[in-house]
Amino acid sequence: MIKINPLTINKFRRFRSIKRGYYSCIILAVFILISLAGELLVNSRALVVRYNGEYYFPTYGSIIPGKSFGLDYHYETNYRELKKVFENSGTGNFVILPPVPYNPYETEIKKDSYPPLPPSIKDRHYLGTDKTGRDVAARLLYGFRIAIFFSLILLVFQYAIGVTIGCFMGYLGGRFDLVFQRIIEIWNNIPFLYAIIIVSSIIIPSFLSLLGIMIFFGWIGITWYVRTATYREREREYVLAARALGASTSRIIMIHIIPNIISIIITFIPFSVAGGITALTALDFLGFGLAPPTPSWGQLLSEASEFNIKAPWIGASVITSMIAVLTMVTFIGEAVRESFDPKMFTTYE
Amino acid sequence: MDSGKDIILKVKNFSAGFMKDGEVYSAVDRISFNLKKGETLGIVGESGCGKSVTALSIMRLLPVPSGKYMSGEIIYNDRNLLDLSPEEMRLIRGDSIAMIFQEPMTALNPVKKIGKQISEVFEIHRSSLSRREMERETLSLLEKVGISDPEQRMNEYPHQLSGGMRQRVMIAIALACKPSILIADEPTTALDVTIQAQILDLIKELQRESGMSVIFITHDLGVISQLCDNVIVMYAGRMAEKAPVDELFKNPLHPYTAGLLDSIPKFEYKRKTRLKSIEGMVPSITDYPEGCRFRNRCTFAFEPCALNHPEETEVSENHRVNCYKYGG
Repeated sequence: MIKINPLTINKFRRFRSIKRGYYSCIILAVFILISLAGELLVNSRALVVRYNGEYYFPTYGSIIPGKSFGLDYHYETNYRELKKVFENSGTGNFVILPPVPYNPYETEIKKDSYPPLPPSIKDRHYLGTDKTGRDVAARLLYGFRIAIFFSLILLVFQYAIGVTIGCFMGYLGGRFDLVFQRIIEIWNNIPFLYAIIIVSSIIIPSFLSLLGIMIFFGWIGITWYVRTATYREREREYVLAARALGASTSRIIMIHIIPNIISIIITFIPFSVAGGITALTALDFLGFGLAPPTPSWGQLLSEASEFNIKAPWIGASVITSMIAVLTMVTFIGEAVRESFDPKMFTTYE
Repeated sequence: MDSGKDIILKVKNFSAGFMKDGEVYSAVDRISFNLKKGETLGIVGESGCGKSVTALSIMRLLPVPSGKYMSGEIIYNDRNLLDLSPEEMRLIRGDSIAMIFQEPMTALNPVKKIGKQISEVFEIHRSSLSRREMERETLSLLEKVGISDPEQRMNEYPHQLSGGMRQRVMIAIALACKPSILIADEPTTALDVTIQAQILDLIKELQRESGMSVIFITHDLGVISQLCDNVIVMYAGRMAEKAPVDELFKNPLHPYTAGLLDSIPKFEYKRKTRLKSIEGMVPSITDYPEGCRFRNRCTFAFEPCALNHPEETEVSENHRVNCYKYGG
């Protein structure tokens, strides 16, 4: 069994005792899990189809053409139509659809009205549709999935680079420190958003290239903090003792210094996640983020501003979800910071 | 006596110092000594006399860029340690020359388990060992340095141990690779007297077992008399006197050594006798007096003392002193 450091247990206990942050953490984790299983909840493909005594599970895997279910076309089955066909025929065949039977890319045009369509329980558009007739709930969920994972991957890479460089700056000092200080100051003065806008007006960004651009411009944030913390740690005697053992510089940084400054890094993580989500949303809103038709909150927001009175459901749903997610992330960050705060352990009267 | 195969470390005319505002101030000035196999050499002196700088220089651990190795040689295994590349030096540290630090409280990494910190030495210098073997070695080391319940202690953090325990762990780390030289930089200063005695016994015993040489740095003459074979007395970065321990205590030649020994309280003293002390203060590194650095506090000072620092004179066999009183 893994034995956990009693101090870590203590921190975890304190994190749990801060109810706001703890419940935010649970709710956000549930959201992320739901978004991972999004295909089962929000999808145009059926969960189960029974046709002539055989069962089909079309959710994952390749498309099943309409011919397989006795329809007259070769492209992917429209399961909502199929459900109506089976219900009318009454042969014991059936289709079970996900709760929201739309995918984020398909447009549904009704004969007698133009999108955006208001929320309707009968049509199972619980949050209505956007201006091209795509389901808002579907776009919201898949947009969340993209945003949160974009933000997490961004975080990992930015921190990997920022922490490494910050540590080396603090530990080596001298010329290396000086050169990187100047580089970071220059980097800092490049307006982050404009730089990305300029780059993405030249190339049309995909998930990976946008990630690359944002890592390239965003790694500096954590560097200063890590540099300062390392600067303080390297003067401590255990670093000298480790050198007396023959430990190399990289070993001292990775094995001795980073574990000692990890609490500073952890404290910043939730705020960086929130920052990543907002940055992606802002870019999408301006039209410089992920290329359409990728589902995204920023693109929903820009539609919301276009149809603000005519279609309030778009704005209402995306703004509510954004506020909810960002608030929860902030609560988690606050709780993490507080559970790492050593002042809680000792107080003076 | 200074030649022969059993000399393991030779320090020749070695000077080191620190840069400050573009000027180099020497903290250690032209010291020479030989360390024999199995010998315990004590280096004694007040704070700031250069004893720690000497120790750190042997490990080549002076802080860069301010620390400077100015001249001389430190020869170990026919190689001058000062000429080695950082990578070659790294392989010597912790493997053939190990060091124990003064503060066991701060010299252990606070967020790593004891066992991990000991087995780190094996990871660095004996990477061919398997994890299982490293763990076994770590256990036997902890047992050897007298830590009870080593299996449990291995999984504890430094803050869960007492000061004496921590110093034992430090010793275990230093001894992990069976070094031929152990440098102990005031290892007992931070400990209380009972624990101090235990740690000294432990070092003595481990030395007898393994036959390693020890350089023991301290300001405590009592510790020196218990532990060492030979003693070097340092004053203001220079060597004052070098002698076998009994000889030094019986027959101190240098006025500074004599003063030090005089300032130890003795059993014959009546109650409320004022303790003797050496008049004056140690000069600061930036303004050492010309000539002999001890001259402004020395009761024997005469003309030649102001001109030059006295050279080493052999007064009797093995007993050397740097003082004009004996010729210089």
